[in-house]
Amino acid sequence: MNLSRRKFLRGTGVALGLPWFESISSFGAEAVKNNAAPRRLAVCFTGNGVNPHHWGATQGPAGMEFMKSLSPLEPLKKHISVFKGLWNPTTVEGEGGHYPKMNVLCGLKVKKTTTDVEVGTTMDQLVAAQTGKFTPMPSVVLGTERPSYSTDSGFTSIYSAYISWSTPTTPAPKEIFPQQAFDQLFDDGSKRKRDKSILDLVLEDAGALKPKLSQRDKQKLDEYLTSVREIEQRVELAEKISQAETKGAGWQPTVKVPTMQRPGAGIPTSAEDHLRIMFDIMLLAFQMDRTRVATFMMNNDLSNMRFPSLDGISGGIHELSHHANDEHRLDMYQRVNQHQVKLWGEFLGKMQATNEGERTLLENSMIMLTSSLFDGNAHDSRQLPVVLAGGGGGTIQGGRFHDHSADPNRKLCRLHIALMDRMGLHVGHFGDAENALAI
Amino acid sequence: MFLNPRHLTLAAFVVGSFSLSAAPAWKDAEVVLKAKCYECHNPKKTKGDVDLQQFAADPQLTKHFEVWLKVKDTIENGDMPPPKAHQMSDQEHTALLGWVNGELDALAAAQSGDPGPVTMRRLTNAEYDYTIRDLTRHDYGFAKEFQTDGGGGEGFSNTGDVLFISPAALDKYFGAARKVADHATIMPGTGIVFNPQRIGLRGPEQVKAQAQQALYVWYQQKSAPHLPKDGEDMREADYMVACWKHKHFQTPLEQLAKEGGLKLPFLQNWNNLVNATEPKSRFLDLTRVAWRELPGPDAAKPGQVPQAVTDGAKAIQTQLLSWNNPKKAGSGIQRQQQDADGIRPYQMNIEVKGRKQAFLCIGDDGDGNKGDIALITKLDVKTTKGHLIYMDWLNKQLGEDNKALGATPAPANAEALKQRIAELERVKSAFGKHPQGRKIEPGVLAIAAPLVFNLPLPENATWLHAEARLDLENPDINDGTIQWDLEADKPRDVTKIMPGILTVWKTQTDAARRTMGDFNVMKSAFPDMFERRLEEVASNLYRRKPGITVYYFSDDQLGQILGPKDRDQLAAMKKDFGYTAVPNLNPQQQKEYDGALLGHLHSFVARAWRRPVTGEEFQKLDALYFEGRKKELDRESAAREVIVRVLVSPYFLFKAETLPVANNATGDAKLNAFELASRLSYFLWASQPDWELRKAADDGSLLKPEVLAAQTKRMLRDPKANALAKEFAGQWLKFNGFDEKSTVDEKKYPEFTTELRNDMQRETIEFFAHLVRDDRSVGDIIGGDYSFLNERLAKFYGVPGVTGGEFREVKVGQQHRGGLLGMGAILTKTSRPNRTSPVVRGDYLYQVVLGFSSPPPPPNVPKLPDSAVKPASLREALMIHRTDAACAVCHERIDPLGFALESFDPIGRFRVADETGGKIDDTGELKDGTKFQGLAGLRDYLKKNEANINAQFCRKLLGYALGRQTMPSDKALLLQMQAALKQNNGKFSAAVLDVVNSRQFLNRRSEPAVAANQ
Repeated sequence: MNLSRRKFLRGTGVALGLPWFESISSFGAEAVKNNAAPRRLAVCFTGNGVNPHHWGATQGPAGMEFMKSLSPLEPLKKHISVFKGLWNPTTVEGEGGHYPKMNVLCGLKVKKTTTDVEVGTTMDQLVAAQTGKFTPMPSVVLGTERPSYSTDSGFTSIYSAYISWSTPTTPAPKEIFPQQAFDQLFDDGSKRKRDKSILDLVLEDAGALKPKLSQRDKQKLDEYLTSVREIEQRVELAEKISQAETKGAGWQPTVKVPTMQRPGAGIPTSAEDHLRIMFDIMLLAFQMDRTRVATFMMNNDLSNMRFPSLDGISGGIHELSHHANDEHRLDMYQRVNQHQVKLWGEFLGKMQATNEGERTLLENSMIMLTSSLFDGNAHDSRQLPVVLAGGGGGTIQGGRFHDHSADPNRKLCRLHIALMDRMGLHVGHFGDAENALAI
Repeated sequence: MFLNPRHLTLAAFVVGSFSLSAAPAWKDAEVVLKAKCYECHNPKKTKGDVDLQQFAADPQLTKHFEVWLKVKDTIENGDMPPPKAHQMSDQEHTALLGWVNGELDALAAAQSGDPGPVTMRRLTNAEYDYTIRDLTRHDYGFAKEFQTDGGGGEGFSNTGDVLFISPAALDKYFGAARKVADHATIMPGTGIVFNPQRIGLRGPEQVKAQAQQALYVWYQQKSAPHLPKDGEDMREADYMVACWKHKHFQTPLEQLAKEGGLKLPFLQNWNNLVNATEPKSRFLDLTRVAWRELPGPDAAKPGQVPQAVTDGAKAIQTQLLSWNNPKKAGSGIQRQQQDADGIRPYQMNIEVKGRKQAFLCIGDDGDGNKGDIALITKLDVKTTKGHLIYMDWLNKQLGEDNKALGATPAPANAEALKQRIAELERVKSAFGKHPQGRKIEPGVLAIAAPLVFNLPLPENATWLHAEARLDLENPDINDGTIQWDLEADKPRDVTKIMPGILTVWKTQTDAARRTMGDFNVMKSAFPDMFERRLEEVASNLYRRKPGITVYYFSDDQLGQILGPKDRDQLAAMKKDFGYTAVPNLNPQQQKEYDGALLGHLHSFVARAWRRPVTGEEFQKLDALYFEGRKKELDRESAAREVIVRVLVSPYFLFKAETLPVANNATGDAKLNAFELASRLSYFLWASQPDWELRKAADDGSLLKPEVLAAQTKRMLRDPKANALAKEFAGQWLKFNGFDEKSTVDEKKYPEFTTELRNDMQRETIEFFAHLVRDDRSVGDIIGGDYSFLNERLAKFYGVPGVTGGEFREVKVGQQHRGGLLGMGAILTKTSRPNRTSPVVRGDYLYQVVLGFSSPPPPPNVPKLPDSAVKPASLREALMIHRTDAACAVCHERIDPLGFALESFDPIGRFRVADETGGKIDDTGELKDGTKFQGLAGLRDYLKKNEANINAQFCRKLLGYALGRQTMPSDKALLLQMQAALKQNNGKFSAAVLDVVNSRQFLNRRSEPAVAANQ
């Protein structure tokens, strides 16, 4: 199918003014002082929803009170905002318990197809296109589980494995191997310099091939061409950044070299080890300012991830989420949720411990935790679990409970607009929303 | 009707479809659209990018069938009209759907065989690894850390639309390409050779050393089986007699070799040796001069070999050739020389029991006697009565003899005594005197060679012992070489080399160098050990002309015994060494070197890109190589850059199928022979075409149906067709990746080990690999009474009589196994980590095996009533579940299938009772009352529905082959495939042959056809 301009716009969902290259020049001056630390954005995702009875917060006499599953965040409470009632209305239109909900970061409808996938360019990738001009990597997209080779109910399983989409039809490549993620982020760019003349040549190959292809195939080749050009740009950018670092002008990251060992090959056997090492990589990437945008799928939707380390819990997350209101299974579901929050909290703690001058890294960041479902048992997406950590560089006051359940306009995309604003990307509207949420 | 699927799917072609004659008319359908759809789907408001009002006058179904397909799907699925909008009445529903279905069916018939929308396919990760394996002959598995592929189309990773490429992915392709290149050695002769280990950057010395080493090892490996081992009879006399015959009777060597059972190369070598005078060597002359001195033919006995010749040859073999140790067969020559250090004397011993005298033989070693003086510093004799210094005995005996002679009356033996006294005096007088007049100790005997010095012995002597040195003070010592020997029987010829006897000289004299030189010639002609014979062959590496060794092969001789393949290999390796051994190549040589490397790169790229490469493309590749050279990369590194560039090119990464440029014709574009070869090989092997297939593409014969069919059959039998088991069957039946990660609760099932998991995976692969390669029946998937097991898995299944780790075919019908349904991998995969799930197993059979689509669970699954919170059993809970109408519609069809497999636990073991001892109920009952029990019952039931399973198989196979979703226009082909299966006893190849001969497989849609359907 042809990728029409219309669809492209639908995908980006933003009011396109100046090409992003030009529009960026004002960003640094306007939002963040030249010598102040930059803002960072991350979205962490857990598949298969949450136990609804213990998730979230309430407003107590002394302010926000965490419910049980969020209790591991207690020490960081003043940096945490809990949202209730936000949703993506498009997710309840079609049938299907899982795949149609996998539009958390763009709010646009998930196309029911087994071939020509389409969701929408996600907010993190739009931001990355902006902030990526200042860092060696535009974004880091992490995960722990691969997609399965299957189609189900007219959907491809691709959808369950990605929350970040770099175009409406292309998921942003997700890295599940710690070593590969590490190498991508902390490589010094020297390897790529050698690739330069080869890049020019394969670009010629693609150019020669293109006229001989069908319209349909040209799109695929365009993915290739874009990738080649982006790598070329990265090579140049890497040089510029290293020059800037040498000059020492402006803000400098407080961590200069990797503080962790290069991870071993393969995937750690224990889920906790895998999660912790990916969190550490994300942390280091932020600390060293290798990128300012990250997403991390702590597990896929429809995930069979298990935590055998937790006593008395048997079964994968997807299975537990279908608790059928059985008390024992609800309890196991809740404990898994809490365990995931605990691991997320450990990461936040390390961010808070990273001093970046005026503020800590956490205070400079916005780190979201969310899922594509609320109660997994009911495939319920009429509200989503949303927790936001960090101060957005002094623009967000944490420690507050935001109850939007009665709000007529409680679209999650409004929060996305608010976050994009703080990252310097000012969009008139995004996804299915027209304005920013006050946070 | 069976199972009554809610949705009419492609797999349900066997079930039936709307009848054309009853199709409602467009005007009736249009009324419905107008009433219920135009409000949102008009030229101004195009919700979901759909404008239906534009079709009010003419639905333009042929041109816009995808729009109408979407209309059909969304309405059938209940997605449209949206919940808040006005809903359609049943009548409206029928009118609209009836029309659209009827039209689409008609269109499907009209467009039957349409190649369909196939998006250009990137190599999947699995295909990447297989392709690199076939390009390099090594299974590096670099794609394991690529960005993971997902599934699309009919549920396979090889669907173009879902094969993405991104900067990160491209980065990894670069990384992998560099790794592949780093494993290569790239040499002018042997070309691009991939090694199991990383080679990386090599300096010129290393390149040379490795080229040398490779040749050295090759020579030894190739010649070892053909060279005589130590201890083997070398038949020297036979060879020499054959040479004699050649000389005197002119019998050709080939014939002599054949008649005598001799090896022709060795006979040629012998013949060269005995007839040659060069290189000079007085040691070698022992053999060749002796051979030349053999008598000629006996005129009286023409054509016969005289006895004297045979004996003479044997004598050479025993006395001259194996001159140091004739007793040890085949020992050849051993070094028997020493540098004399002047300090240490050399010992001689000889048994002299019953002898009256011994002979002290001082030889000149065949090179004249200049400088040859031996000093016998010690001479002892052992008698039956004890040890004596020879001089003491001499004096004593002289005393006794003189006394006896002087006695009165004179003794009877006076004359004999006198003689002996004279003899003893002669000996005695020799002591203490130097031939050149130098002063020496009185007890020392100095003898100039050549001389045989007789030593009279005491009567009761048993052993004679002497110590000797070379006289180093001799002014002529520069020419001195000497041999000494004690003999008891007869003296030796001291004017010639005495074979087998120590030779002594002073170090670093001309004599020493000459002798060693002569001796080394001998040694190289007759190496004394098998290893040295190997080494002589390996030394061809340094030689411009053949060596002189006898039991040896020159390059030509080796080429003759090994055949053309090895001959070429040898030539290639010598070329490598030739170019790398020279430190400074001249411009011509440099040009040749570069040219050779580029030639290898050209054939590599033609293979990697799976098509002929144009001259212009070659030039660009060459330019990259020379650019690298300019940047001071060594040749190999520059060539590696070209390999990297080839492997990250879209021509390698994509299976591009091109259209004629500026083609405006609608309809099919025929694949060219190379594109067809790739389609075929990636379908059957998930890898690139091999040499044979490529040849059929090169000459265009692949486009002939009979050649295509023959290639297909050949390829299905090839081990590479295992990819169909892993990738096609594995992805269709969901066991792909089963070995990667356990889904089992290990705490509950510690017996489910990694080894067992791998065995289970292996069972599925073996089963399907045999199905493909032995061309068995597709019906075996469900109906087969066999599987493939090793001992561990057989024990786990309770199948007796299987021992060892090898997987083999086992009849398992008696043990509740056989085919897919009894496989541990499938039974485990369709279970929860800690319990069985009849729903998951049933759904698997219903959707994956039978090919029905069960609708997804409703958006909000109704909660189970409280009474179900503590179900007495899972079965009971599910029965309660089914009381909800929303659930029942599917679970009525799914659950019974799963219940029948309840006799297998969550890790696939057969069981009759559950964990708490409760009896397992493995009966399933469908809504229409059909009942079945256990694996056997389920299998019988499924066999009755074989048509559905075959339909599903065909649909999946076609989807996998084409890399797209099957479409209405595939209906005829799918039916044809099913019929072919039926006619051919279900043979796997029957369906495959129909696919590869189909219009869909042989063509692609031309561009305008694609655009028209947008």
